[in-house]
Amino acid sequence: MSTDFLSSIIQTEGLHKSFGHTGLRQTEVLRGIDLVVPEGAIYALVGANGAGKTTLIKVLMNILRATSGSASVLGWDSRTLTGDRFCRIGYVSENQEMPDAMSVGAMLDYTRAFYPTWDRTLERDLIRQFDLPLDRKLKHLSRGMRMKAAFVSSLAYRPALMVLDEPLSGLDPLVRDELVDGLLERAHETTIFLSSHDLSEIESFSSHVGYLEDGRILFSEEMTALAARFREVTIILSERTTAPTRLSASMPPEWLLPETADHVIRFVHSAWSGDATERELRERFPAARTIESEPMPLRAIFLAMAKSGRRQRAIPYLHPVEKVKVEA
Amino acid sequence: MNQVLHIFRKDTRRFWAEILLSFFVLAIYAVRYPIHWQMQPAFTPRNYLAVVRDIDSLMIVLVPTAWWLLITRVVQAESLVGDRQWWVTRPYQRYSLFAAKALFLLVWLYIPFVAMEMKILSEAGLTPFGHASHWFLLLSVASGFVILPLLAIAATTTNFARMTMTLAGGLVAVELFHYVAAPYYPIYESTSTNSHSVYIVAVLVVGGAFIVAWQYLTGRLWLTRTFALCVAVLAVGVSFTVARMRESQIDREFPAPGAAAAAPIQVAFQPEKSNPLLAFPSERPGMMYVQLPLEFSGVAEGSVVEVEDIKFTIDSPDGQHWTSPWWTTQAMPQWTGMLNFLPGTYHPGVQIMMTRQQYERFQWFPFTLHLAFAVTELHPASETTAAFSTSDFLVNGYGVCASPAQWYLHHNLICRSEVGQSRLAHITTTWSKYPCSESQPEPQDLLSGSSWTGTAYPDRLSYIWNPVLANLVQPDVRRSDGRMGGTRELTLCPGTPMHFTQYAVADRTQVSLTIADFLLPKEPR
Repeated sequence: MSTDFLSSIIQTEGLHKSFGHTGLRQTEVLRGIDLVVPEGAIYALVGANGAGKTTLIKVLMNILRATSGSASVLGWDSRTLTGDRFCRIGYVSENQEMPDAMSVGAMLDYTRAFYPTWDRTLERDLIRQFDLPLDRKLKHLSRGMRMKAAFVSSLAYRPALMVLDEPLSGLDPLVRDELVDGLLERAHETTIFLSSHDLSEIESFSSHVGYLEDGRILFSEEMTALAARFREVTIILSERTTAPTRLSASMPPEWLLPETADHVIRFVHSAWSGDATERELRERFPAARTIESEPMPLRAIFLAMAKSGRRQRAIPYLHPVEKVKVEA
Repeated sequence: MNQVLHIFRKDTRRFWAEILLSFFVLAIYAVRYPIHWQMQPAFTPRNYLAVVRDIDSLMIVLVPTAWWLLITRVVQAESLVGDRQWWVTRPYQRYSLFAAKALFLLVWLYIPFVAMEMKILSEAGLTPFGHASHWFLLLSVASGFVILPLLAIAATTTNFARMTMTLAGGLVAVELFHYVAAPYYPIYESTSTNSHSVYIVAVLVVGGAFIVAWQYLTGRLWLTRTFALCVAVLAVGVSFTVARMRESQIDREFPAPGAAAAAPIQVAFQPEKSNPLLAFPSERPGMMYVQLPLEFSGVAEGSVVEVEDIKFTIDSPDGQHWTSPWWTTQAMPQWTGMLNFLPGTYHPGVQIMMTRQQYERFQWFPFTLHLAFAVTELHPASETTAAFSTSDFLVNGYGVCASPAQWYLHHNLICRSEVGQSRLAHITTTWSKYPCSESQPEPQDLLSGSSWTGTAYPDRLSYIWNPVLANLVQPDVRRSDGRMGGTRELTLCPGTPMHFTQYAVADRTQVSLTIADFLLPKEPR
């Protein structure tokens, strides 16, 4: 992980969160999260619905208490995040309650007084950019408009960290682009940490990505490094050689979703390092006629991760894949 | 401070409708309450009590309902429960939020409530700032029984629906508790010694305030709910204990007299045709009244003796022994006066209560009945004379009295005083045998009448939030047999002097009476 720990904005160690009473239908939602978000990053936390993204964010924002482990945000223990400390943090969530009885203008007027660094010019620019109707009550706004209002109320004081929980889900593409544009314009002064279950929402602008699966971080790294280390590998053996039918029993953990058919072996290599990896493969498969490696689009990488993770849970005799650690 | 005022202003703007509703209900209360002493033409002494009771009952429902709405809305505007609230990720200081809500309730709930009380006192012609203890009592009762419980529930529930369900559940639980615990609670009540009830109010006020403050300042919901449960259990425990403490309190406050001490009043068992020994069912299921014809006499000149509580002991020949708890003395319904005795001889029928099982067990054979009375001896503290009027007339040191015009013919007047200030007073006046005229009636045409009002212990805690106590007074004449009654043909003329003698507690003791070979009367079929 190419991360400077000294300038990390968010850092967690062994974070666990369980719901329910011990021994009585306890549900463990976070299972030892180690996470580092560097300053200036646009960090996307990706995972399927129910993976634990919202719970992790709520623990970071001190809305929920972790069962064990630690988390720091902007250098503060997350359990101490309250009051004035939120002057440096913006938080927008898809399911957050808003002061619905207020109009947009009244909400902004009310919110403004809490922030010494509130920038009226920026507020006006954002209102214009998002085309927000100031006199409309929040409860009468569409979902997209409500999200825009939430963005303005969280960006106008120039927070050092923006935490966004599924901010773009369910929005039409036009509104989504407007919000992303508004966000990116502030990216030079704000670290952005956002969650999404839809990769296509975030892949175009995120600098870092973490993948959360069943309460565990499967990987967390820069987007470019991630794209470089994942390859779809196809090995074609000589015609006299038949591919083994049960490749998975002996394969290294970096190989995901193996498939074999006649003379062909196909899998996703999650730790591709160019020629060195190719040499290793040739040594393992001396009968290989050709070894092809194709870069993978981000979506395919995540699908491979997700499918391999589920297969591990479904077939317990397979070699379990621990967190993949790759130094970029 | 800025944040406090900022949140307060926001809440005020947002909840103006709830504030207005609360004001409206209080205003109705302030306007309607004087009906206790400002009689309407349609009122008669017969329906007066029913009308007053209906208005009081209505307001006991309406005021808490308006407060319930106001408190729930303002507390849950920044809900303290849940993980989706907007405010929790904003720079709110928890103590500022708490202070802002407290300020809101102070300005829009407590001050209007106090203003309403002042308005009523002012309407009654009484001094609004008269007694600090009066205000402390009113605000404590309102806070302990209504405001703080509502606040605590609002602070520990997510939304209005859950708050309402919790409140309804709480009320059902209280009713169930009453039903289940009734056999274990003392069924006897004593009004003279309920000062220990202040402990219940103290638990509710301190406990309620702690729960609300704790939830606001820490947000530890389950711990807060645990505290709330503890306070509820503590309040129940205290109410049990207080009920049991009454026995020892009465024994302590009304000590048995020494051998040489003279009793302040003599009591004798005196059945007679006009005051017979009776037994009849109580309004309480499974209970029986036994009405004892007694004679009270021997009160020293210048003194009054008030009989507060009674307890009795049954000693049967077969060795059975049973002692009742202390119980507020009740006299037969025809006994119009309270059990206050001036020098003279009186024959009230005094009731004791026992279970039907006890009655049926003891009714077949004679036994020894010991009666003990907790009595207060009072001496005159002040005397005031005021001229009777159909409009308000001030009675110094007591309050204001008036006989509304249409009541004039019914020979009643209503005297009002601040709660906690209506000391025991004896009122004497003279009736005319003939209609009033400009000329003064001859002495032989006058009959003296008298009545009691107030109580020996006006400052004892009572669970009310009405600021003014209105007493119906009928200065009845005393008949030749010593009983009261018979003013139907008489007239109380304007300008007639009315003497108010107020009494202060001088001594407390017990007086006893033993009736040998007492046989319980048969229950009439």
